[in-house]
Amino acid sequence: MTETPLLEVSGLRVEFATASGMAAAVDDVSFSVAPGETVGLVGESGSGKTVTSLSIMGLLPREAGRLAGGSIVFDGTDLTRLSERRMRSLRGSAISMVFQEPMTSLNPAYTVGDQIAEAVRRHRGAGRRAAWEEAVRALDMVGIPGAARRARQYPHEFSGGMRQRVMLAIALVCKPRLLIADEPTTALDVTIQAQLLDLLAELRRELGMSMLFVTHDLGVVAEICDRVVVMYAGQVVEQAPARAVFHEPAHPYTAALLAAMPQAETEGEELAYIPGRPPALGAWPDGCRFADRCGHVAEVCASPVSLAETGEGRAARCARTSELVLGGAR
Amino acid sequence: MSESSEILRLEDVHVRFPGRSGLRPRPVYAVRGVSLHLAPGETLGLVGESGSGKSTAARAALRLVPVSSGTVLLDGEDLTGLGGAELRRRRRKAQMVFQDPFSSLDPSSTVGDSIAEPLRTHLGLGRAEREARVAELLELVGLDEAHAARYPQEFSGGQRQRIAIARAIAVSPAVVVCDEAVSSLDVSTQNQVLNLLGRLQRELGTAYLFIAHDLAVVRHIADRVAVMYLGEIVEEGPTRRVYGMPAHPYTEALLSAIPVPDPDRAGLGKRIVLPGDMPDATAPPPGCAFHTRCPYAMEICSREAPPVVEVEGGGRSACHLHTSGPSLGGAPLAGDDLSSWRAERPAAERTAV
Repeated sequence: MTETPLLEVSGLRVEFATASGMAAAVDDVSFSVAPGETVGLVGESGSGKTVTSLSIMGLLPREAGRLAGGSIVFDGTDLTRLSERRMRSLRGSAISMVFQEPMTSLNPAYTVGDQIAEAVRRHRGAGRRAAWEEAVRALDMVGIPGAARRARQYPHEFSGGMRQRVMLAIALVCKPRLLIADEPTTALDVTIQAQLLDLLAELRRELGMSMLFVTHDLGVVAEICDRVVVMYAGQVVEQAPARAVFHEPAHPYTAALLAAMPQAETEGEELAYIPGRPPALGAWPDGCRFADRCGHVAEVCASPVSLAETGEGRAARCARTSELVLGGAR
Repeated sequence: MSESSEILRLEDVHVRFPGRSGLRPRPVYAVRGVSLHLAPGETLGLVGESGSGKSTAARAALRLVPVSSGTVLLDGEDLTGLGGAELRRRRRKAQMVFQDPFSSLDPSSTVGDSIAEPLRTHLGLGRAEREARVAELLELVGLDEAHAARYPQEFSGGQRQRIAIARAIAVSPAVVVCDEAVSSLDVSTQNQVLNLLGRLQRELGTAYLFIAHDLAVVRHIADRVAVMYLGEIVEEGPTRRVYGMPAHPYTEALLSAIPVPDPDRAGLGKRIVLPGDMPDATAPPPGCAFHTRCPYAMEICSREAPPVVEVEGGGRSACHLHTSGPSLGGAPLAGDDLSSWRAERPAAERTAV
């Protein structure tokens, strides 16, 4: 990729307090997002994908988590060195985030119009009336019919899918350059998910923004992402263009995830699964962290392994990747 | 289908909840005229969006919610009029596994006690017999006898769901209702639990009423599928036919929304995006309840409830297209016929959100 990335995460390390001292929940995580690009950050629960996205937003839980190394460069500025005040002014304007739970992220005591306008007034210093008009325009942009009327309603008057649209309106009203979407469609029905994915793809084109899409759902990744970063046990194990990840995975963990997706073709067969469990936080082995569960494990896997380039725009953290032929999506 | 080959039958079941809010609360019509049947050893998938009534219909099958009208037959016995001890005794033949293994097990009881409880209350087994059966059940679900002495919080999500399954099958039920039983698990763990359910069915002949919002999972596990919308079954049939050749526009839209895990085939454009949300269950639309969002809605759809017709390839569907649509005479409409007909409709009707 020749273009200067909008976001570049390098060697990120985030530590959390555990019963046995500090442990790295995220360890040596590096990836980038180009202008206008949508990158999928994929992994199972506990893989560190949400901790990574919260670190970018500067929203790590202060008591428990700590940024212990690496840099997060956004548009030329290292976010890890910014004061809380400057970070706050960036959050919601240049970088925005939507979460899985739209109900808990909205304030039930204010109209949705007020909550969107609040973002405009804070970040743009706009007047009350201008901010309100901006809020109505944002609701209209995210496809809420009767935006002017709906702006005066409260969150409980909206359905789950509509609330997620309201969250999107808040996130997008200041025209961010990067949207971080953390499982934004996971709690929604498949039909509503389809509506939102269409909407996100459309808004991305219109606004020219970049997107970091955090999800455990490879189907959603295939629908919306240009490039994929796969995380396992706090590390990036593979990154590649979406097509390559699905057709020629370079890491056995990615291949195992693809094989585990129930497909029409697997009807009546036993479903594939990955034996065992990911290692617990703080109990990560020195060598490959997937070795215990990997079908291709060899002696070499006990030694530490780094993320290495495997082709144009591709990298994998696997000592055996060059000798393995891994199956992709069926 | 003859009586003897059915373990569970719902006939025209209605469930109406009293309204909860407002000055003049309106009743919620959660399940409206649902009829379904389940054969021994068979899996019926129940799909639909949240609010479609699929969980309530399943609970009605176990009489866990009051049935306003209609009949529930479990192994030929009418549960509808029963109550108290008699209902509990008959209900033993049907058990349930819930979505959340973290809240469905009592944290203050050992795993062994949790599994043994139905053995005591339903079967009246003595202590030694219970312990032997608990050990057998734990092994059956892929856990260890020694796990009986431990507490639920010491287990992972997948293991807890295995414990919940062991508890459900303890009294050898003929039917297990799985309500989003694998939905909160990571895909690999989910697959192990699905494989376990499949193996138990082959070994024990248990029938499953399987509720899930994940349509790919349902395609894998179900022999037949029933699709619910706003409290009604709009289509039902063999899984392969329903997924391959949906006969109801709602089923077609639902299936088209499944993300395709292949960037080459993933088509944002091929999706039928339904406008708006499901209507309020306190006031279902007249005629066909789906007509307010249906891409093919005709004049008749807002006036008359569609008749239930047999579908080629198996099952039934309730849609006016089969009787009053562009392809007359009750022939099932699907695939190319429908897409070309849809193509003639103004785009605004199809894609308005």
